[in-house]
Amino acid sequence: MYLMASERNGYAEATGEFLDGFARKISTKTKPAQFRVPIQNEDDTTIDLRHYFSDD
Amino acid sequence: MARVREKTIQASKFNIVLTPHTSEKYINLFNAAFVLQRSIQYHGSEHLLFAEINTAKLSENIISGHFFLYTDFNIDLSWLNIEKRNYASTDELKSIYIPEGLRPNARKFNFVFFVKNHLLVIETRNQSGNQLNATYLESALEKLFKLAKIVDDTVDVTSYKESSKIQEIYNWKRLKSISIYIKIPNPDTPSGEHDIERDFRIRNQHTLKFEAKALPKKI
Repeated sequence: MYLMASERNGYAEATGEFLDGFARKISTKTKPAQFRVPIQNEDDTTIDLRHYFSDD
Repeated sequence: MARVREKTIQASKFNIVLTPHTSEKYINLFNAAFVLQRSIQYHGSEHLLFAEINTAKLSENIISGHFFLYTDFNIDLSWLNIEKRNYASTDELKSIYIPEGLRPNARKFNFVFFVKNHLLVIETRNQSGNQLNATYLESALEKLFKLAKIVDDTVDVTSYKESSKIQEIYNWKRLKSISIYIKIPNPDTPSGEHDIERDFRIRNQHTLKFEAKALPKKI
């Protein structure tokens, strides 16, 4: 529950041994979610992001 | 007919939390940040300027606009002549003229803010291929909004994190340590997080840090 809450309201840092056997550190703080959106109006420098994102 | 090429933009999402929390407060916050006309340090000599705000779609709970990223510098600092590999001479310095208000390396990034869900989406890679770092942006936006904040309100900006990274943590074969930092959620944060939200309110908390460490591994 706390980990999921950190997705939008914070961040998490963890160390451990992954399934492949390697030990790693992860900080979600440095891993912001990125969304790739293909656009066609390449001559228009003002992209209206409303066309690509909604509020849900 | 000319073939239309497809380009890709990249965007990041940010959760804006105002306490207390109403749609009107969020609209006022964006207006105040725009009217402020202040550049905010983004990283090093790079600065962020809130350049345009469009409230034409406010009836649909949408604010849009754009930021500029640019390079700021102090013209009075020492100048280098890279051809001579030495400080510029007094005579050379006389030839430098940069009109007031002009700054180099301008890059434009669009944003859209969904008022109802206080969700800010910003291009982090625009059509020209210019990029913004969401982590630096998170810090710069929080500075900007704190300057613009309405008296007695607190404002937090948090970038959404990659769900896959959270899933990776869940998939640890052996978790050695974990620290989770959570800022106060929006009062209307949906499903499953009400317990956390309720705890924050009851205890008058702003931030929660949860830390756990595993016992030493037995051989």
